[in-house]
Amino acid sequence: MNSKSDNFISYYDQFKNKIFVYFLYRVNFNREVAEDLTSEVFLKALKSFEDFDQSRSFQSWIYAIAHNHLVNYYRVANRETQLLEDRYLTKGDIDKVELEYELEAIMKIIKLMDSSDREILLMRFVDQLSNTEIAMLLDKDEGAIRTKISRSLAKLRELLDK
Amino acid sequence: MDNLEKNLSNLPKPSLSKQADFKIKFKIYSFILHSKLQKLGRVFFRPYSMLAKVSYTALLVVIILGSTAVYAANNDNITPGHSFYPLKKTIENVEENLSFTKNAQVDTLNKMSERRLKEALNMAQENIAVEDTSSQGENNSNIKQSLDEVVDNLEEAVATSKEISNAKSAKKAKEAIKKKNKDIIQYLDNIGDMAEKNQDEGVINKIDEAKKAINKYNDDLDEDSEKDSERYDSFIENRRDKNTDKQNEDSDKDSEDRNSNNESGKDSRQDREDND
Repeated sequence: MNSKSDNFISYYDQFKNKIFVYFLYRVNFNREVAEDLTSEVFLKALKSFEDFDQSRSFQSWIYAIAHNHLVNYYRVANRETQLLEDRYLTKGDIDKVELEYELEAIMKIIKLMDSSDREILLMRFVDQLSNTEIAMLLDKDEGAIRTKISRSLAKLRELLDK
Repeated sequence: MDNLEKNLSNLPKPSLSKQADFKIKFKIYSFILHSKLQKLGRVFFRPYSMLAKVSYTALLVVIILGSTAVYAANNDNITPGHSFYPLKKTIENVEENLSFTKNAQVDTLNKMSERRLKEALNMAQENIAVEDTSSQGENNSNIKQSLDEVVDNLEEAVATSKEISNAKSAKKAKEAIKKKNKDIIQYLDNIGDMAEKNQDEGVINKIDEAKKAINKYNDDLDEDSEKDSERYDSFIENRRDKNTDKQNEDSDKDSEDRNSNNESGKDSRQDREDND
């Protein structure tokens, strides 16, 4: 193995769970689908790893690939509508991730939110991406992202208070 | 960060199962290995890669040089003055250096002499066909050089055959030289006929010189063979004598042993009678 391959393996070890969680929250907690998508994303990344600029952030790069792959996954299989409809977590789904009561309530509310609000909150708090990284991923201004996050949080608060 | 943000940050983040992790890693390693093998294969199977170009060019050069060398070494029309003649001589040099045993060296020298004679014959034939005196002169000097080389080779072959310690191998080498000398005389006669037609005095004289040298070496070899056969006969005789002496000694020893056994038998019988 050369150093480039070694680098990729170490990046994989560092980001495998993050990418898995990214998919898990977006495919209705279907572990199998999330695992498949994680595998596909890392292989896709490996194929174009030769072109990856090592001075750039690997996290931004791998999330960009994951994001595009998810969009493609929804588009190709025409699953987006279905997923949005099935977005309401069932009791079984919630059990799978063993949520506490408060968190369970949050999850239930999140599913009622607008997809753009939901996505940005997941990116910021579950995937723990920085505003800059989210701005890059969604191809938006960093300030706009900051505003969007605070607005989405306000909406969530409102829904939780109801 | 308020409570809601904390709660959002605390949402569960399950890990990839070990099985899935293993599967993905396996895919990654397979991909790396596959791409490495592909790269290696591509060098030789993709004709436009730099390394492949270099390899194919080198291979082509080797093939061309190899076939040219084979053509040059075995072609009697390649005579001194031909552009491939230096290549022919180089190959002969290699051939000579690759002859590891004395017998092989003698064979190579014989082959080289035959090649020189064939070249000389070709040049002599050319002299009849061509009327240009300057090229005839050049051919004549090359013929003389070839004949000198034949004599030199013969001298070297004879010297080498004398260095062979094994009597059987030495005899074989010397017989090969004598046999080749017969062919050489035949060639020289043919070349001489042509030289006479062209009235090439120089060549005719050179042929006579070569014939004399060959005859001298033949006589030398004959003497050697007589000595060798005498040496061989005496060696066989000595061996036979030694064997007979040994056999006689053995039979004497056996009879002595038998006598001593008989006497000791008598003594023991006498002792038994005395005791009684």
